[in-house]
Amino acid sequence: MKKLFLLAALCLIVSTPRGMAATLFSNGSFELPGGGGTQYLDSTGGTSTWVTGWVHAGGTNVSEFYTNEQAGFGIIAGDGELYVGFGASGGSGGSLSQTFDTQSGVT
Amino acid sequence: MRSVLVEALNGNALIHSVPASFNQAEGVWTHGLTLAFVATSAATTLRFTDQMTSENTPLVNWGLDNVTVKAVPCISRIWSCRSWFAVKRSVRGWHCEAEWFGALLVDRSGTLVPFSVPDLGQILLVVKAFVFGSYH
Repeated sequence: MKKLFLLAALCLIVSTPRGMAATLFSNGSFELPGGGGTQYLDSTGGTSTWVTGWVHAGGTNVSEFYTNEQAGFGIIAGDGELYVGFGASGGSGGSLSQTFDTQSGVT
Repeated sequence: MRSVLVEALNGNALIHSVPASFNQAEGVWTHGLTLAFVATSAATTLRFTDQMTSENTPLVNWGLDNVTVKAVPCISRIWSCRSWFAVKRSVRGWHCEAEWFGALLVDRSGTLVPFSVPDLGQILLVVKAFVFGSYH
């Protein structure tokens, strides 16, 4: 049992650098922050971080949106209840990005 | 036709990207792109960029949902597999998720396909996307 604990501790030390909190990929289903209706991702003058873990840039202030509004578009989310839409109001070029921890060549 | 660019980035440096177009029926979710890449630093950025233009489509909306990122188990690279299993045995069953090596990818039909070198650390990214008609 003692060896087992030592090995577990070693595994943690190897996998997570000390003093650094791991940032894992998250919110791929866009369920956070949640809420109803439609929220436009307004990144005018910079970026928008309305969708938890994601950064919106480019587009226009009404081109990308966060929604669960089934009544408006008649669309049910592909997974969960919420999703992100692109290209509304004739806009284009918007982007959504997330940065997460990896290990060079190994991740 | 709707166009999206999916990129894996190390800071501003591109690691790998996959441009794609899709044109399924309105409001129907479908599997989107599979992007495989090997990380080159301690942090990787995944970015989706809308590339619709008036030249390639009447402007319509499209949706993105259920983005997943996962390591793909090593199957074809026997040497790597043996190395990994040796590590597993040495720690008597302890399992380090981050140590999973990858060499195979799953294409859109779910079929395993070989992937060219380098074979370590392949990340399988599956994106589901759908489109629906313009409302503005």
